[in-house]
Amino acid sequence: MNVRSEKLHWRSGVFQAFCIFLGLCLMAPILYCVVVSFMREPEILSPELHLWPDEFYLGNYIQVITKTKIFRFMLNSFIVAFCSSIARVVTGCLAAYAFSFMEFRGKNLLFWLVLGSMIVPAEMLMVQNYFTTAELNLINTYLGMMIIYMVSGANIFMIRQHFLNYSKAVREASLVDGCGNWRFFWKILMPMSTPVIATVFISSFVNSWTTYLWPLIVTNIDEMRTVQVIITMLNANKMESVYGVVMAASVLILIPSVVIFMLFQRKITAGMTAGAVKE
Amino acid sequence: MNSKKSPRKPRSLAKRIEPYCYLLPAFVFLIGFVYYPFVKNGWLSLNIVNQFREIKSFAGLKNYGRVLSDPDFLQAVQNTFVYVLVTIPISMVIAYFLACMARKKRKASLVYETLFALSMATSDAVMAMIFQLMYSEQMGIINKLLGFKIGWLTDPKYALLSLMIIQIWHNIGYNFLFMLSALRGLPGEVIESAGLDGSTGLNLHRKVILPMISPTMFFLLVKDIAYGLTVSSYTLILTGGGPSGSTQTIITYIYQKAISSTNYNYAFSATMIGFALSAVLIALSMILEKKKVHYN
Repeated sequence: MNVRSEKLHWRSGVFQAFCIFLGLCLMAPILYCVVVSFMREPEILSPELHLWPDEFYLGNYIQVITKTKIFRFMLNSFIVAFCSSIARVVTGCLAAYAFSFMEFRGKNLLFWLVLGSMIVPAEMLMVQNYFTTAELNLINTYLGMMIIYMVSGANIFMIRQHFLNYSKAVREASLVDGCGNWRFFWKILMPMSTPVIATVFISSFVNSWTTYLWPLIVTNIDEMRTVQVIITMLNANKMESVYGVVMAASVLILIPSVVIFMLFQRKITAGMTAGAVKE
Repeated sequence: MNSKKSPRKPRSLAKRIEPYCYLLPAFVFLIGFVYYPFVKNGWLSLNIVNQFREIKSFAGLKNYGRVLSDPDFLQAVQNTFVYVLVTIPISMVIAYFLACMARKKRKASLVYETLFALSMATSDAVMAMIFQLMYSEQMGIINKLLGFKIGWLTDPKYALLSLMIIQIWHNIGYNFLFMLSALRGLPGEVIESAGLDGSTGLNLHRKVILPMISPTMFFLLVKDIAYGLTVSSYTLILTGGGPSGSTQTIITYIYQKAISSTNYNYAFSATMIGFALSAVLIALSMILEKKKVHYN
């Protein structure tokens, strides 16, 4: 008996080690990026295989920090991601509240408009949206960079699914008690819905932090670029060691989204599957 | 019960307007940045416009005819379809394989689950820069390891393949996470009893597990298709559509026609065609769903 369980234990250990090994292989591009970020230029350029830096050279990081305004670009990305995620939560919750608790004329039509917006890819609209943004004088502004991300049909849908779980009885009881719609929404419903709000916020934050095309189109001065846009332009700037510097910048950019992802991974999947797949 | 409800009397104006106030913020943006651009783009695509987007004359479907006979556009459509048809199945199979390995909770679960899913937290731009270095002909690690001398991003034979590899890598994490939570949601007894009944290996997956997680599979399929049809970042960052158009996608074609060469007649009708194609593919996968998907 004991021998058998010990054997099983041992096998499970090997299996887990294998899984970790497989995971590291899968993440090889990122590990490679980290390793290269500590290499000197000749090492990177040499035709021989270097899988480990001769010494941990910090020059690439120092160059990123002193020669580029990397923190300014990260701040730009952060402002855009943070504010547009807040906006998505606000527009999403308000609309979902009307759709799940109120009766009004045109409700079905309006809800179809929400669903319809989900099948129009944002990228297909970007040319027209660029002109709208330009006409509103929002080129090179934070508002311009976030304006197409202020609402998401998928988020409205997900929050509505969540609100529908609350019985209407709770709301009617509080309305009878003299609690208006707004107070019910703000004082009762919102505090009860923190999990779904967190899910919407975090997933849209990561989305917005990693987005490339739209911020590229609506900015044309360096100061307003997001990190994702600027990293593809570092090559053009005059740097001593371009590849090492780009890899060092990549590491710095990856850190925030990876940390957020690790902290909230469970939340993101739990919320997303519940909203998307439950029938 | 009924008597308690207030009898239907004309509600005050404020009460009638209230729901629309809650909807207003969302609909300002939905109308302004989804429906307005869609309708405007559709209308302009039926006209000849100049480089300031002023309508010169009505053209009917002439713009569409021109775009559809533009070999560059046809190549872009073909590339996009190849891209979608190759990257989605491969990344879903790999993700399914990983999810099956990770299904049972073990001591180190958290470590390898995070590693399997981590590609989800990376961005197109950063991955493009990393792979650019890895693909480099002279100093790239891929050529060094394999002993090849291939210009991965500069040879028309390999460029699209190289971009697809990045996309497959990128999609694995997302697909893995969803499949994992679907597999964990299955009742353990079902799998075990099926195992005792002698269905093992491929049979167990085909007959028992896959039908049960098909809603998740379908969701991922639609999402991946919708996303795959709008790929552009890797092309824009790494190849600019080249070499000789081999990595052009529908979106990068539109981008180049509109932003780089201000040829709006092509850009607007290409947008509508691109939209129609993605709507068709999404509808197709929904029909597939009706036939194959098993809801319990």
